[in-house]
Amino acid sequence: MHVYAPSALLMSEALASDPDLDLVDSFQTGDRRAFDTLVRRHQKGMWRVARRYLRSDADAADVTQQAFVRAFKGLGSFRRAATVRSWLYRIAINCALSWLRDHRREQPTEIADDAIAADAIAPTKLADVQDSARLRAAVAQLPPKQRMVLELRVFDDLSFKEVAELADCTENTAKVNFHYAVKRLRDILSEAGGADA
Amino acid sequence: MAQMRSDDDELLSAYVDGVAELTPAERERVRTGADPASLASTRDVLDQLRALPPEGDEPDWAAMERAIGAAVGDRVPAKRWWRGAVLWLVPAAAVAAAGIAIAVIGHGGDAPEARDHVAIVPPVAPTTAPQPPEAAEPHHSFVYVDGQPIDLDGATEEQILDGLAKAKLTADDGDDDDKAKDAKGKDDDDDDAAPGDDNLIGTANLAWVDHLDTGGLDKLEQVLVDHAAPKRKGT
Repeated sequence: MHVYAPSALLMSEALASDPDLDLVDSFQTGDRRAFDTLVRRHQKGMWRVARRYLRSDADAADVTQQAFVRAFKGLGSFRRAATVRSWLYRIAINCALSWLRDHRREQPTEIADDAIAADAIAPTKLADVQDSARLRAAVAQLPPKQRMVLELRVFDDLSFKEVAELADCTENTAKVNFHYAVKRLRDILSEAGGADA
Repeated sequence: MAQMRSDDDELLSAYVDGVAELTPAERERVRTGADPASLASTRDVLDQLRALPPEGDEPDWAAMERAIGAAVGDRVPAKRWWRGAVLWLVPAAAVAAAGIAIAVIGHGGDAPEARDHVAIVPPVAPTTAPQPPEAAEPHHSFVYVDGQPIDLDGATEEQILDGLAKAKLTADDGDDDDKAKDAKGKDDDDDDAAPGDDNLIGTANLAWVDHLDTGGLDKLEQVLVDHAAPKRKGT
C-alpha cells in the first residue's frame, strides 16, 4: 500500500497516471528487470527522437544506448517532476545534442540525405516521395521551437504537457507554438502547390 | 521564452489535434469562433504529417535491448543520497557562508589587529624600579611678622617669643615714622598699631594669618595667650 506525501497528492493527472511510475518504484527497490521493461517500452521513441537530430540510423542507435545507460544511473534518484517518458526523451535529446557537438564536422548535409533517398525509390512512388520531401523540407524551415513542439507532438505522440516539459515552456505556450507551426506549414505548402500549378 | 498571446485562434490547432487537452471553456470558444475552412486545412496538414513514413531504417530492437542490458550490468546502482541532499545543502551552505562573512566583516575588523598586537609585542618590562614613596617632610608652619619668618613647629616657645620681640621692635620703629607723619598731616588711621600698644603683631598686615593651617593657628593662639597673660598680670 502506497502512502502519498502531500506534494504527491498535488501531482497533475498526467503524472499521477504515468504508467511507468510503477516500474520506477520497482527499480528503486532493487528490481533490475523493471529497467528492461522501460527499455522495451521507450527505445523506439528515443531512437526516433535521436534520429531526427542526427539524421543517421547508426548514430541514433548509439545515442539511444548511451541515453539509456545515463538513465539507468539516474533512475534511482528520479524525482517525479515529469513523466518518465518525457524524462527519458530529455536525456535522449541532451545526448543527441552532445553527440552533434562532438561530431559537428562529420554530419552529412540534409540535401544529400534527401537526394540519396529520392534516388533509391521506385519511379511509381516518386510523387509520394516528392510530397514527403516537400513536407519535411517545410518542417525543416520552421523556427527551432515550433519545429521541436510540432515533431514531439505529431511524430512522438506526446501530450502538450509533456511537450511543454521537453520544450521548457508552459503548456499553453506549447499549444500556441504548435498552432503557429501548423499555420506556417499550411502557408508553405499552399505556396508550393500554387507554384507547381 | 516570452509568453505568447493566447486567443481563441491560437488554440485552434490544439483543438483539432487534441480537444481533450483543452478546458471546456477553451473548447467552446474555439468551436464558436473558428473558421470551418481553417479547421479543415489544419486537420489536413496534421494528417499529412502523421502519414509521413518514419525517417531511416529502424534498428533491431532486440539487439539494442541486449546491448543496453550488457552496458548497464545486472545490478541496480546504489541510490546516491547526496543528489537529493543537494536541494537543501547548497542553500544551507550559502546561508552559512554569508553568515560567516557578515560576522567577520561586522565584528572582526579590529579584533585581528588587536590579537596580533597582544601576541607579537611582549609586555614592556618596567625600566626603573618603582620609587619608594618619598618620606614626608616635616611640616613647618611659618609666621611672617613684618618680613621675619617664625617657625611655629620647629622652634621653641622662647625662640618664637624672641622672634616676636624683634618683630615688635621693628614694628615700633615703623610706628615712630608713622607717628611723625601723623603729626604733620594728622592722618588718622585706626588700623595701624599705636606706639606702646600691646599688640605684638602689627594689625596693618594680617593676611599671613590666612595661610596658617589649623595647627599653626592653634599654636599661634597659644603663644599669644601665654605672652599676654604675664603682661596683664603685671599691669
